[in-house]
Amino acid sequence: MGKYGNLAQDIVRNIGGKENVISLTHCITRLRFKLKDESKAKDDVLKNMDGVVTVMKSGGQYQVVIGNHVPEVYAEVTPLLGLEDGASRQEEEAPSGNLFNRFIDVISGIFQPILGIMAACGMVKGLNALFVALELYEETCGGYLILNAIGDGLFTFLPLFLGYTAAKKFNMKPMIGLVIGAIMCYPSIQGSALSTGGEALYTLFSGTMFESAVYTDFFGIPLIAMDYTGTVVPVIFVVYFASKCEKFFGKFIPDLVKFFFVPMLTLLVAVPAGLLVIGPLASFASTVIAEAVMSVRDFSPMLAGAIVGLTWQILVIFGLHWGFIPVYINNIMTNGYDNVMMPFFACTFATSAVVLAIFFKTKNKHMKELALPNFISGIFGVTEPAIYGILLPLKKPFIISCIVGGIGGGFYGAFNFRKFMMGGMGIFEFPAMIEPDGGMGNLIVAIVGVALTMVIAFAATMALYKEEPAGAQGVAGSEGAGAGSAGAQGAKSQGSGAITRRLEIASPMAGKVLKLETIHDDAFASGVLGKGVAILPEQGEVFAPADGVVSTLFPTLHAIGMETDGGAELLIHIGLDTVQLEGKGFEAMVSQGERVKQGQLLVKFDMDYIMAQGFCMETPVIVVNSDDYLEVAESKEERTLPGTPLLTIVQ
Amino acid sequence: MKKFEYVIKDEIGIHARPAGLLVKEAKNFESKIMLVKDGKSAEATKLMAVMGLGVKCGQNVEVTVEGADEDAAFDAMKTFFETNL
Repeated sequence: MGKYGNLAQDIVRNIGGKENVISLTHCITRLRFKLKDESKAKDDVLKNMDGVVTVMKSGGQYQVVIGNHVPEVYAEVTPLLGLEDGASRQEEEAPSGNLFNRFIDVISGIFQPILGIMAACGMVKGLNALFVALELYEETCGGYLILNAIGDGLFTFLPLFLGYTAAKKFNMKPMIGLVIGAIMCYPSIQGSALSTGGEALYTLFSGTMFESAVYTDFFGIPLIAMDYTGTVVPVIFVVYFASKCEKFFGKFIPDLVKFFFVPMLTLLVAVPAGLLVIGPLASFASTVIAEAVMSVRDFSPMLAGAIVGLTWQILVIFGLHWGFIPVYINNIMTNGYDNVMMPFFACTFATSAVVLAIFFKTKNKHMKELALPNFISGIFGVTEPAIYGILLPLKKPFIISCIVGGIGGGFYGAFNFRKFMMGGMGIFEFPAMIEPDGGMGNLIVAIVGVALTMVIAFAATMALYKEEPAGAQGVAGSEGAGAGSAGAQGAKSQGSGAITRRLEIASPMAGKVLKLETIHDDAFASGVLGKGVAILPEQGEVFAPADGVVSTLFPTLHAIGMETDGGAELLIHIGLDTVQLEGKGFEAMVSQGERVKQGQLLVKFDMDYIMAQGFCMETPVIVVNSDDYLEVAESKEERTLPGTPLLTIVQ
Repeated sequence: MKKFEYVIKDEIGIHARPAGLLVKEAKNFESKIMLVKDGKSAEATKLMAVMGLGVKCGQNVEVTVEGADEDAAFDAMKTFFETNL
């Protein structure tokens, strides 16, 4: 039993025992119970309990407000409930489905916050390469250097960004995740830096295919290093492990020194463990793969090419493609060309063509906006934005791109496609494919392969990819797209579960913001009508809080119902009990069923008259279908003006 | 399908709080529950629609229940109206 064991037992006893609980979830601060019978719960006892802030009943949920440490309390409460799997869960639970789907959901969820920036950086990187190819400037000039840094910074230090977002995903302090990413990218521990530092200390497994030169050790334990810059999966594993460490240490370390000791111990355990385990695993696995491809090549170059093409993108995600780099460099140095790794060339174009097809096919604005730059940077050889931003989250297109990559790779393998120099990316690799004696045969193979791959990939995607009706999940919803209506498209879809969607509801009037619980009307204050806030108006005008339709204009004009384009049903009830005025003092500027834009004037009311009749002006603004959402969060402002954010709805 | 008629006795009619409770109750059932007043109808699970009917004290509402659990829903609705409205 942990430190919240007693609290957990008290909570369960006072909500009517475990028999009374249908399900339990938690959000940032609250345990959210669904009870069979809310009257069995002892509100007063719970409210006065040490460790419980208060109790709220809303939307069929019995909410016990705990505070930020709710996950730890939740962890203690769940075993006491003995619920079946699934009835008790965290609200941001991992999406169900098989391991493959869950893994992809985790990865694409982690990439979600940086998709836009990633597309932008990919574009800069691609254009920079284009301008050099067009000889607008030299690769040696400072301009190139800076632009390259702008384009490549994000990709090189990807583990930092992924560490941060992965930590959020695994419920760890995001800054610890960021630090883990930074440590993994720390220049002097990169495999390449260590290996250029001099002679290897010794060689492990010499004579086998796992032969690994060890350049340094961690207090006697051999450290098989790798380059973590630009990798994706290693940091996710380390952060996942660290999140477990953080939870573990969080249980034992007294609150007083948690602030400092939990991160310290977490880093001291998770990082060395990660580096010592992941380094060797990744190195061995990539060696095995490269060796396997080499031996397949001996009897079927076509099959070897197909394997490279098929698996390349998956290898890149795991950082396992590095096994091919030494082979590639060695081939170019000794043979004057490489033909082992090169079939991967097809993948770049398979990915680009799939993204192009999605650009034409999608009806989702956000997806369209991402697809075009991702296609362009893709043909310049920067495929990360396309893979992580579009293909993986949609899953099926990723599979299409892998299979078509395999077909293209097979073609390249069969025709002994070679590259004669290092350097170049995407279409800028073509010059390196002209045979040193000027022969064009290999270049023709390259171009035919690209054309073949792109045509198949484009056609296959057009034929096989069907957009889900609710819009592309995962990619569609993002914080940036949330303003009132923009995030609307996919708002009703369940999404991949990994990604929450937010809708912003603007304030309909100027006035003082009041907590709904505090207003002088039990019906609204109790939350039975939905979650939201109230405004004590300063002016007699109500403006549309979002784009949408006026679904209900009450005959007495004292209340307006709106269905926003994002799917939220809002109720603005001007004053309390004002139904009794039977329309006197109100003037409607719109009619029921009318489409309105955010900020449009809906109703005017005569505040002085209404108050003179003895009515309270408190105006609840509530989300009637709150049950459909995870959370309806109110603005922290004390005063609000029409058009400023008032409510944030999280789905 | 089952139906009953009811004359509202609550002095503020089917407004805010009673409407909220009514919707909550109606959501417990699979059956489609409709309120009809003066030819206007509203689905009982839609708060906005229910309030939009603007049913006042002394007015007559017809409640229809149709679906798999209509017997239970009918009884529950009847009890609800009698105790709350």
